[in-house]
Amino acid sequence: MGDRFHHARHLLRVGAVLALGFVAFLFARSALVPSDFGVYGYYRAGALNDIRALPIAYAGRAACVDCHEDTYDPPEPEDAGSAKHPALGIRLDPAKDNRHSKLRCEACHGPLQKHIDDTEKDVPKVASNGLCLGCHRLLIGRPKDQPQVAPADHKKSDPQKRTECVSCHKPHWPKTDA
Amino acid sequence: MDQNRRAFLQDAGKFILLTGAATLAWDYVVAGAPEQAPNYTATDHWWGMIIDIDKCIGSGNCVRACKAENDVPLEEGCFRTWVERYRVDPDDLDHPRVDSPNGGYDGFAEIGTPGDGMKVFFVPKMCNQCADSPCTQVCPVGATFRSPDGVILVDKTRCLGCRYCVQACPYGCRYIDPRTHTADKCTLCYHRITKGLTTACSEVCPTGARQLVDLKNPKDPVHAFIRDHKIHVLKPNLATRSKVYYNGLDGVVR
Repeated sequence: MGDRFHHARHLLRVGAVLALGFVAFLFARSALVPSDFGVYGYYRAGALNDIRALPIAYAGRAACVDCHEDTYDPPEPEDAGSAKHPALGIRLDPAKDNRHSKLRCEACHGPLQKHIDDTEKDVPKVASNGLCLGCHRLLIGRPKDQPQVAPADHKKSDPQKRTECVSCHKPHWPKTDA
Repeated sequence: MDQNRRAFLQDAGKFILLTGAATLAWDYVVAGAPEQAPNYTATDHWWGMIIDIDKCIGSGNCVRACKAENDVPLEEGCFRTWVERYRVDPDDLDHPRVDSPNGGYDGFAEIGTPGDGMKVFFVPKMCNQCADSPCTQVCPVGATFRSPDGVILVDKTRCLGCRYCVQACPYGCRYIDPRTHTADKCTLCYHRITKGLTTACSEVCPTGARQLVDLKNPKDPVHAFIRDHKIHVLKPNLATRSKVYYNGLDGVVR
């Protein structure tokens, strides 16, 4: 009898250690695993909020047009292209639309959310040759319908005038007669 | 009338900046609980992207905008999107020459001569936002996951930096942020698209080669686009169910 109890004590000791370990595991788990882990899946649900709350750098064209409607849609030159649709106010033939009309403002002007928060800050930069050539330098592999220029050849034909792209090409209305 | 001039100007400013429902949502975003914003339900969306190879001019605008928008380190190797240039000899389709100097961040210098017989085109690459993503399956701590609206995200507070996901991604879209030593990747501008904006790369693409699409929105032009064009995804044999759809993708692209 005494022998059997003696052996049972070994088991109780092991059982107590295991039980203690299990309690320690539960305690550690509750401390280490965030409470919102597993709400939607095997991840922390709050991470969605954390990522959504990150700051925005590019404000989007709608935000620019709110203040700068006349910049985006300036008075039209004589050679503006095909007639405007009377109701929609857009060019009937987009190919003849003499604008950088597919571009959003921040494609050239850079990220402007800071400027929208405080209009004194990050005033939009103006066009430079490098900026124009980023898209319009002659480069093998560019689609054929992309207007491209080899700056050296372009300058040769009239070296006096052709140093700054914007001296002939208005950035918002880039097509010229020449 | 207890509304003073300052409060009126703030409200008016917000109304002009963000009309209607967006104003409502903005209050929640500012309060730090954008999930509770009334006009965004994650399960109503299933985000993806269209990339039109025929329109890509290799300007690198998307690469620069992505880094500026998402605070991506400027060092080589840290890209959420990058542009590759393929040069293919029509007589040797098995060995395309691919270059992507600094991911296309500074644009591309000319490397060929006109009329050398090579086929040259640009391929923008990014996270393919797979519906069955290999990278999320290998994460041991649940630090990367697919959100209910189909975007693969990284929880930087949980990531251990073990790099399993970097190896698991068949598209090479992940990198380790050298500042935090945690994995990072394209979030499809989750902080923008959940507020009604498009991604930074789509915003600045001068030719509209990249477009954010919502596959759950029946009015989204993506459905007509996929129907009307010959669409392909990268590595369909891996059954990742990529949601970045390429138009005009050449067979040599890996």
